[in-house]
Amino acid sequence: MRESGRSEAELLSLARGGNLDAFDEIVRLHERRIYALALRLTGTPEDAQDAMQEAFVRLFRNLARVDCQDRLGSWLATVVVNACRDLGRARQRSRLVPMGEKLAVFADPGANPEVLRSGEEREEQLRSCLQRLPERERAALTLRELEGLSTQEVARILGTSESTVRVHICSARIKLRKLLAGWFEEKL
Amino acid sequence: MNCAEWEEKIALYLGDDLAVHDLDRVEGHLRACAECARFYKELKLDANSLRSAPPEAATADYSVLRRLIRRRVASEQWRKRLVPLIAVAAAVVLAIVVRSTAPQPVIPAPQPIVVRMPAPRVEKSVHTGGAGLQPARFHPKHPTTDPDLEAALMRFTNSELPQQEAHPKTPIEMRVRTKDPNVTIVVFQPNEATPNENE
Repeated sequence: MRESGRSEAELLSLARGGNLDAFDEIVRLHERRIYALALRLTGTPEDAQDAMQEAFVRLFRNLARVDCQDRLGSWLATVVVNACRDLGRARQRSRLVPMGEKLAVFADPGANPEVLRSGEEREEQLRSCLQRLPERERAALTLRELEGLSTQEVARILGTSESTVRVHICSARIKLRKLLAGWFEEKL
Repeated sequence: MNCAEWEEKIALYLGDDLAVHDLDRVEGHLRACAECARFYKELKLDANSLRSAPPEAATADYSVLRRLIRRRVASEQWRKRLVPLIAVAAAVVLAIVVRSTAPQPVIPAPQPIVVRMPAPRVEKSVHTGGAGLQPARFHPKHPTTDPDLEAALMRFTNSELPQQEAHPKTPIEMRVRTKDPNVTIVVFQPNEATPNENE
């Protein structure tokens, strides 16, 4: 049964009472945004799916503590950032190939010159370069650009100060530009 | 200040994070320096690219993801319901185990009833004759014995004891009077007779 037509607060209230259809509806409302954010942060659809699932399961566990006034979207963004961070740490512990390196190999500019010219390839390269940024800088820049959050909101989500966020975003922009410029030079 | 040094300020300017007093300087430099203007334009393009969601976000099969989430959430819900039940069951089992293994409570023994009674009267006196008994101080190196006293005590101990009907368990007290009015020998003897025997 689809619980359409209900406000987010009503859906939260129903979900707290154990209504899983209402919870499904909450997932529907936020899935695309959360998946896109997870994709930017992790770099691969598989990791993004894992992070997204983890974020919604954590939401379910903490339904009693989530206040609709507190903006569910912002709460979910915080959770997905943490879930992506946990995934990255688990990957490092299990000594698998780091996400950035894996993508870099996948998006090797010399692999297929014809594909390189496509917009899809540029997107892949952007994602690859993004993965080479330090975790905190990547998260700060993604939250600012993809989510369109203010410095204050980004600072709250990352649990840091506004001045640190400014430094992270600034540094991330410059590093990303240099990585992309290096890639384009290599391509030409 | 060369162009490399302007990069940071340009990046801050792009994100509206630049201090107000630097705004004019950066804008002036961007108008004057073609290289920095190009850098700013590229930063802007990167930011635009980042603002658009990755293509997979549009093509992903969200119904599959939703099913996976639903499955995990349903198992979480079961766990939430089971945890209190398991906790109660565990508490009950623990209570039973503790109760069966705990030492039984010690019931204090009742306080003995003390009955204060007057000392039994002297039933028998030893008459030591006209000479009387002279108590002597005992000296370990020169022990002295009083034959009269010894004889009187011997007679006393060999004599038949009277039955105590009122208080059969009361020790029998015997007093031996000596010549000295200040000295009396008191002998207590346990009464071995049981109440049945007394009857």
